[in-house]
Amino acid sequence: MFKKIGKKTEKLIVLAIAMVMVLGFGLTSVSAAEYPKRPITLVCPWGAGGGTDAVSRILATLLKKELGVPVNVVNRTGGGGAIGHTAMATAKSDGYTIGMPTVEITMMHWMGLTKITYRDMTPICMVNFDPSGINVLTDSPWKTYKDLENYVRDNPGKLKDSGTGYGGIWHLAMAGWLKAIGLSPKAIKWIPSKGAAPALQDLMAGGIEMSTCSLPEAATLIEAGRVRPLAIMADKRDPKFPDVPTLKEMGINWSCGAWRGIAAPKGTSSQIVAVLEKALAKVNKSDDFIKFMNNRGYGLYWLDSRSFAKALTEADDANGKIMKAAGIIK
Amino acid sequence: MMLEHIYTAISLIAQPYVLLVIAMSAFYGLFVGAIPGLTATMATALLVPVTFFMDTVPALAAIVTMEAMAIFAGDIPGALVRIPGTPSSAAYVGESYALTQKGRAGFVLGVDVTVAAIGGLIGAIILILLAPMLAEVAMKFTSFEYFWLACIGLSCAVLVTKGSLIKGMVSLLIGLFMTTVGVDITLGFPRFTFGVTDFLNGFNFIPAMIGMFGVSEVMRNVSSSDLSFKIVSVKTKKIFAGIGRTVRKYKLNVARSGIVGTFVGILPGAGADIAAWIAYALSKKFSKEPEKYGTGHIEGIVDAGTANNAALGGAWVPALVFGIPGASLTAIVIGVLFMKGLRPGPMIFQQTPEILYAVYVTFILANVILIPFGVMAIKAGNQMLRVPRNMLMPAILMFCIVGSFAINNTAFDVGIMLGTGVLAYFMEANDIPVAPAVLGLVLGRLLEDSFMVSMIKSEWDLTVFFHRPVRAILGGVTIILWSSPFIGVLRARWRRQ
Amino acid sequence: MRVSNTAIGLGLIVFAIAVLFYTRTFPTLERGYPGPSLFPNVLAVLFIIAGITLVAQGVRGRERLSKFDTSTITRSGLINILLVLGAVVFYIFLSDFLGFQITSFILLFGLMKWLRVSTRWGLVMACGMTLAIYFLFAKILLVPLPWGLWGW
Repeated sequence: MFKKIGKKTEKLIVLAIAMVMVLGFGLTSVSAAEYPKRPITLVCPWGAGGGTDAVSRILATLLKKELGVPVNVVNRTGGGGAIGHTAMATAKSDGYTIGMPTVEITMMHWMGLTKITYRDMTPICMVNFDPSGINVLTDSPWKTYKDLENYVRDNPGKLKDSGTGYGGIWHLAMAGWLKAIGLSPKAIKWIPSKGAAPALQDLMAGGIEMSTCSLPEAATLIEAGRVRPLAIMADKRDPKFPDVPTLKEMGINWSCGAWRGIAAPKGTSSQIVAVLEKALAKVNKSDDFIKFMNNRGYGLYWLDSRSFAKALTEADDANGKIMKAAGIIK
Repeated sequence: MMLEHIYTAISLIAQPYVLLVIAMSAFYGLFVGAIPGLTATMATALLVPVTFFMDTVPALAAIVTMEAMAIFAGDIPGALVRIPGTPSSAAYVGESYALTQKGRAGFVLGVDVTVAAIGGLIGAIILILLAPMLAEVAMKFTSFEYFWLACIGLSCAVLVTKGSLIKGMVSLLIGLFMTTVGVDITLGFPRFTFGVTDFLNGFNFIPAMIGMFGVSEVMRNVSSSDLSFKIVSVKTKKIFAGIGRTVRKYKLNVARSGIVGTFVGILPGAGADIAAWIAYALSKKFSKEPEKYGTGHIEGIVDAGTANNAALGGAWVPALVFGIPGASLTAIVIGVLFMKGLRPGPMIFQQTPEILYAVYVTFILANVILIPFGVMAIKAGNQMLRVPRNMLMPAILMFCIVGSFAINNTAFDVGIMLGTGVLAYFMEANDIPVAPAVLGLVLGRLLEDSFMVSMIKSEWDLTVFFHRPVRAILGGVTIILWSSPFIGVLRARWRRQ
Repeated sequence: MRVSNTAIGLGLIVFAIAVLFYTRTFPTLERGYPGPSLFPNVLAVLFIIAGITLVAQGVRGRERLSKFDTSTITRSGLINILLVLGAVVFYIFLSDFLGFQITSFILLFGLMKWLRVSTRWGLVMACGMTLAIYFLFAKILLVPLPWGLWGW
């Protein structure tokens, strides 16, 4: 194969390649005038295939239309989100690397997994919030929320609950709920799992009795008539599950859920934040985004940069207290 | 009724646009599968925004086709340069490469593509006929059953080890130990990370696999004295001769591995890679010529190559019936269905059967066109063997680097690749086989997590591992498998006396 | 590069003992049940068993402990291997600064040149491969290859 090509052709190939390289690199040289000038990287701290990945990809596609530059999703997974959050916090604060922080940013540092906190980021907006549900099997003896609560009161330590890993958001949701009804956070045994899907499978198989995961995560099994949601830990009912009561309306002061937002590294200039905030606000109201979120069953939620920052401060503090009270951290 | 659905489904597929999408995704899948480090999951995730603006049928057809192509294409670099393109090819990469060195690359890959297509069809047929029933069975698996499954998988290590059994065990232990690095399941405690954030993710499987197979192979190749010659001489004529005969000879293996592969695929948490290991080990166990394994014997390749493609159909079973993803790829499928306003679950069987049947038809179509597309890819791949090694090796090294980087977009994984590459080189130089270590990497987390979770559930009562019939049977199988070599040794010793 | 079974066995034992000591710092589950440390400890014990078996085999086979056999590999082969490893290290540390294209080109051309590929073919292959990988990964598959001096 190599001998067949003559010397002349060889020279031509070298020349052609050299020219392509010069042209290719010359055209893409960086010149920073107005933001954004070049592709933006969106760090997703969870793996391809998950909910956060899907939301970040659709957001990136729609954001591209608003900003006029490609927005590329980059998955940085592992360490229960610690690796991805670290990557988005430690990136250059030039506005060309942003990320999709999730609720774990207010929890991981309490667990000692990372030193990164929300203070290492510039919050831009929050786009989604899904409250925790309390889900049991349809053929279980607990028909209403009260049935379950009474059972737990009478039989502390007997039930097993799962939905995510140790110290994850659904673990915290369970602990906070038990605390709010005056029980020990260990009145239900927490079984760690790799996420909501394996936990729900274990629920179906009879390995655990309940799962405190969000309703969108359990939606297929709820609709199949296998799983019954008894309550959600939210301030108001989910329009897609209007029959499921909230804990609030039963007089229990506890709300908890997972959220997703957009943030840039700390020290990103306010002009860049403003550009992104404006574009994302538009995306958030676009029909495509609303349709996507509704179809996936994810709760639409909007907080702008300032209110997101405030919410983060409050949530971080509250989560730390609950994790301590629940004995999740020492 | 059913015929009507099939007719509707075919008319949905047999449109120029859909067929074009299928052809494009076939190329995409072959390409992604053949390059180590690029996974079908990643490729599908990239398609998500595209599928958002696509109809449901072409979107699903694209995913099904790509998946089938990618799992086969993983065999191509495996056979040619001993680097599995996807984790599913890792089980038999040594075997395939041994045949390539005998100058039979075309034959190995020809058999691979044929059995992959047959395996895919077996998986599809089981999916079509038995999905709802099998999903119920899979849903009965708790952490206890998964623990036994992992144990059965581990017993494959003995069967894939050549030479010293003790060195095979050392290798398996090394692989298992590597999986303990990172966040632990019971308390979320960071183990052996020494404060390095990137280590929280442990030894990422794909860079480790590329290192152990790819980098160590490059090291071995450049260490030989004459680099200017080619890996093997390639016969241009009749590279595909003898395939039909081989497949006919091992038709029982194909049937067995097709079924085993599908069942492993159905279990959420196990997948095409574990299916291939188990099929390979079963193959050796039941073979009439187990002594030939590891020296370039086609039988094990037939089995494992069938099983990994069959597992793909299986993985769709829990996804379609209960909306529970068995693997990250089916998680994307569920996401796509959601996006289209469809709910996977029993409802999909009643409300939108035409979509379901369209998936079935695509499954069959994809596996049928796998053969012509696959043969094209093999012919292109074979050209690689004509390149002199002193040009090929640097190029392969570069692909290894970029592939390791691409999976999690970090130079840290390139470091993992380098470290595991040096380790594997050292191991092989000292007759410690690499295959058991890779098996350990595949199964370590499943083994530990299922055990620890089970113990937390039962409060350290070990008898719970035998409480239910399925568990007890799996446990019994494990104990028999594990004790059989010892019984064999004892019997041999007794006879000698 | 071969070392004696005895040396491998001893190495495993030392490693396992270090693991056993280190895992004592790991937290335990409620009521003192082992948690994160259980699996590593079980593996460490198995490592020790395997290590002792290897040492026993070595002693029985009258193996020299200090056997360090490099005869299977030539001097130039060893240099080639070290260069390959060096190339990967070069990529890990310099790709962020230089960017993918430059790093890849230097790495490919350098290695090919060392392995006695002609300058002309080395240039063709190094440029061609760099461009091909770059377009496939960065442009089609949107992998964020290191940016570096030149941009992408």
